[in-house]
Amino acid sequence: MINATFTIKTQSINETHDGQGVKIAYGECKFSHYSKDGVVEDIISYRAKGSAAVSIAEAGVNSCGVVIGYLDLEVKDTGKGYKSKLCTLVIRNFIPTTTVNTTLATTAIPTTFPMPLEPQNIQQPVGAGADVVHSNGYLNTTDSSNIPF
Amino acid sequence: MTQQAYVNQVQLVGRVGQNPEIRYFESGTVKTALTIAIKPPYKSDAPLWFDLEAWGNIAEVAAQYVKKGSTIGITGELVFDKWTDKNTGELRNKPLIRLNNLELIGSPRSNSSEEQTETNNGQNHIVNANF
Repeated sequence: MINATFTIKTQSINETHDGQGVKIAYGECKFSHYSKDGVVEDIISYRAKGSAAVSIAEAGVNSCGVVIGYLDLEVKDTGKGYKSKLCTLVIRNFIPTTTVNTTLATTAIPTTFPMPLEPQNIQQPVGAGADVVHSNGYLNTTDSSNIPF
Repeated sequence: MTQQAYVNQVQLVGRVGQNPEIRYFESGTVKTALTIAIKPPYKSDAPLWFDLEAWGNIAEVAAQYVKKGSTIGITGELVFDKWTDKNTGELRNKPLIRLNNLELIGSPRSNSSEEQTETNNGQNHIVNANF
C-alpha cells in the first residue's frame, strides 16, 4: 500500500489527453519538508489524470493545494555510470487552497417546512436525523466560530 | 504556501528488502537505513523500492525488530537526500522517506504452516462475511 498527502504549489502545468480523451496534467510542483536548516522547499514531478487534472488545470500555475495520491519511482540509467531514481507524485485528488471565496455558502431553509420557534419535545426532526447521517453520525457540539477558516 | 505550515505525509506498507543498517553517531543519535518493497497501485510485476531512514527511538526499534522480509507499515516524510558525486562532481539526489512512525506487521517467514491453517479455518466465517 502506498498513499501520499502533500501541500504543493504548481510550478508548471502541461496538458494533454489520453487515447480516450481523458485529460492529463503533468509538470513540476514545490513541496515542503523539514531539514537541518528548518522547513525547506523542494521540487518534484507530478502527473494527474481525469478530474484531478481538470482541477489542476483550472487552478493554474503557482496555485497551492492539497493533493492526495501516491509516489511512483522510476530508475533511469543516466549514461554517466550510475542510475538515478526519479520520484513522481501521482495526484488522484487535488484540492485548491489559494482560491479565495469570500461569499459564505448558505443553506437555504425550505419555506414549505416552517421550523418551530421552540422545540416542542426532545425528539429530533427528520431533517436533523438526516444531518447526523450526513456528518457521519458525528454531532458537532463545539463552537467553531473562532476557527479561522 | 507558507513556509511553516505544510503537509508531507507518506504511508507505506510493504516488505523490507535487507536487514537494517544502523549507525551510531558521536553525538549519541542513532540512524537506521532500510529499504522497503511496495506493490505499486497499477499492473506491474516489479515492486517500488523505497529508501527509508529512521532516527532515535524508531531507529533502535527498527534495528532490533525489523529483519529482511518483515512486513512493516510506516508513515513518514518525503525528502530528497542530496550529495555531490565524487567522480563527476554533479549534484545528485534520491528520494528518501524519513520515518515518523513504524508499525511491525509481520515476521519475515512463518514456518508453522499447520498453525496458520488452523487459524484460517477459524477465520473462514469472518473472511466470507460481507463488508
